[in-house]
Amino acid sequence: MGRVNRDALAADQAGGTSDERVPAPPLLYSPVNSNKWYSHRVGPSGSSRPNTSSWPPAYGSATYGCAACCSWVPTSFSLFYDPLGIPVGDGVPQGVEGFDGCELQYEDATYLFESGWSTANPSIATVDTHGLHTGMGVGSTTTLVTSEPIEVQIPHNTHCFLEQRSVEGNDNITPNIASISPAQGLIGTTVYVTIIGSGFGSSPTVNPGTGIGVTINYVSGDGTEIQANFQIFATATGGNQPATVTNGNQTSNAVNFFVQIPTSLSIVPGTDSTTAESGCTTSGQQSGCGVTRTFLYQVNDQSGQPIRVANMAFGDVICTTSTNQLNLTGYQTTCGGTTGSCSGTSGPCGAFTDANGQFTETLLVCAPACKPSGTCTTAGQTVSNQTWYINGRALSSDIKSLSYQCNKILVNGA
Amino acid sequence: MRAYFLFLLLFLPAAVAPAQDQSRDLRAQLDAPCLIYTLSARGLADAVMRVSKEFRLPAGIEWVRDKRSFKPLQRTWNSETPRQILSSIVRAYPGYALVVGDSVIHVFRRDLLADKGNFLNLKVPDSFTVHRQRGGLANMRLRRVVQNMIAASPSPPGAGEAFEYATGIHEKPLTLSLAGLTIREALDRLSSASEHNIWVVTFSDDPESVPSGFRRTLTLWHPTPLPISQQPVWDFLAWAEPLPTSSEKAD
Repeated sequence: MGRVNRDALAADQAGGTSDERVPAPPLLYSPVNSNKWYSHRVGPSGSSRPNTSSWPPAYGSATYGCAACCSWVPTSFSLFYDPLGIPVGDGVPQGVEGFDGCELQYEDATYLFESGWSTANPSIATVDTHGLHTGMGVGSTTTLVTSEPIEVQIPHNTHCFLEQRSVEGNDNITPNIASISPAQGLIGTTVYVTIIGSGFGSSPTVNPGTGIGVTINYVSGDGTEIQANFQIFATATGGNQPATVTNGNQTSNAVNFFVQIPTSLSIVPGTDSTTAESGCTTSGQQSGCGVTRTFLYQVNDQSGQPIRVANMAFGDVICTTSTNQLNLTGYQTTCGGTTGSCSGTSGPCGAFTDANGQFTETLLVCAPACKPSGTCTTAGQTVSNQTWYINGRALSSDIKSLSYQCNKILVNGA
Repeated sequence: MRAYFLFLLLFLPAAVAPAQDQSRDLRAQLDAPCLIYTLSARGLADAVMRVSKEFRLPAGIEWVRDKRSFKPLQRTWNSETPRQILSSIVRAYPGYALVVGDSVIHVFRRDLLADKGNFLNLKVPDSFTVHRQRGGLANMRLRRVVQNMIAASPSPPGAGEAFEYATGIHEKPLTLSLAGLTIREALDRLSSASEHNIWVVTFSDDPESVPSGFRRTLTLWHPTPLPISQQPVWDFLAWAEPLPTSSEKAD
């Protein structure tokens, strides 16, 4: 690693005397690190010794007497990670970096420390000759790594010296979560969750994220499974929450638990049907024509994924816009009642989703305006906005536009 | 006793051959021995609904939402039949009676049975038909018909109407002839034929009636009084779905 001092090299390239020039030393390719070029140099004092100085081929020559040693700064070696977190049962690589006095930057020096790795407590963590650590049991230990003799630079000294350096660091072997199932839950509900992994111990704690309470119901004897209730409060933050398991003072990797918020409804393909009512009678005993449309709605979350949860209470509110050519005087809705000048209420009212988070929607209209002279005809449309509520939450970003017509009912134009 | 007799007369016209089968099934269920049953209910309606759901007994309930009927009931029965359990529940609430109909059990307050302010004694108009329609939607349409009958201002001439009915239950389409039946009988027919097996009429203890003289009603799902235009209302519940709990508190 020791190299000709760049200042000296620069002076040489700027016009040093010809008798000070020597041929470039032969270059040897390092089998350890292809970025390093090894040379055999003559030191400033005239003594010659093999060293591992690199010599950029482009430089071509060096200057006798002016070149000072540059190499690794001996006090700069440290482990990449301290402490190193290792999920129990997993392997995590560790390495050594040091300050390169020639390049004036920190570089990977792991190749100088091959075969010198050890841990203080192999029952907690082991390490191979390349620095790959394996977590054996939850807890803490230390790693010691010693280099081969390496060339280092000493301040105010033109010589590079060979030294063995040692570096020590801490290892924390943490519980390891492999999976969490289900990996999502509906806001405002309690979800029974199974966490699979290792190193959970006999009395772990589970932190499933903001706004989620936990009750642990079961921990397997070998510390590889936890069954718990996640109580997702109505105030929980939607989206991914980092769930972790802590055993003692060691905390596992985080695995996402997705908090679902009802956001939209989509019509399940293949469930849509429309039936014309050629002779309907209104509750006011008036003859008219109309139509019935039936389809299945799926409740979706904020990422558009279906929320497959039973017994979500729902309700809706329908408000007529200014277009009312069918002369509809109000709507009978699932929950009944009124909200302001609109028909319907948010519930709950005894209407709940099925086990797939779905429900059947039936829209029916009967209008005398569609039968002005004894036969069914078209008479324009009545347009209204329908706001759905799931578990009391308005799906305000998915307000449906309903167009009631004599022979069809459109939802959002379709 | 006269009220009982009138009640039975009111139900006799609805009896037809399939109803006889249903009646046999209902009585068999009522008299099946029960090893042990524990109930914790927050009042009469809650108790009857829970027994109905537990033993799969179609039920019709007419009750008044007052402090007496909200008296909590906690009890365990050993080796008694559902009929005995229901009888003891009703005995715990003075003024109420239990009658087993052809396909539905009825729990009602005796003085309301023939009350002229009880909309359940109105007749379903001839124009009302149920043709290949879900029971829940038919119930909603029937409610709209009754609302139109007792409302102070029925729908104006030329007015159209729209229904929106959503359900998480997979309901089979029904074709029923309900014309001429009382609303009570019609609800029995609907509850015994559909997936909604419990109907509950909750009368308000507010002595003030709607302008047409009918008693005000409430829903079990929330205690807020409904406007006259929404009167009357009743609950049409399914065994497959959660029972109401939120409003089951005494005033």
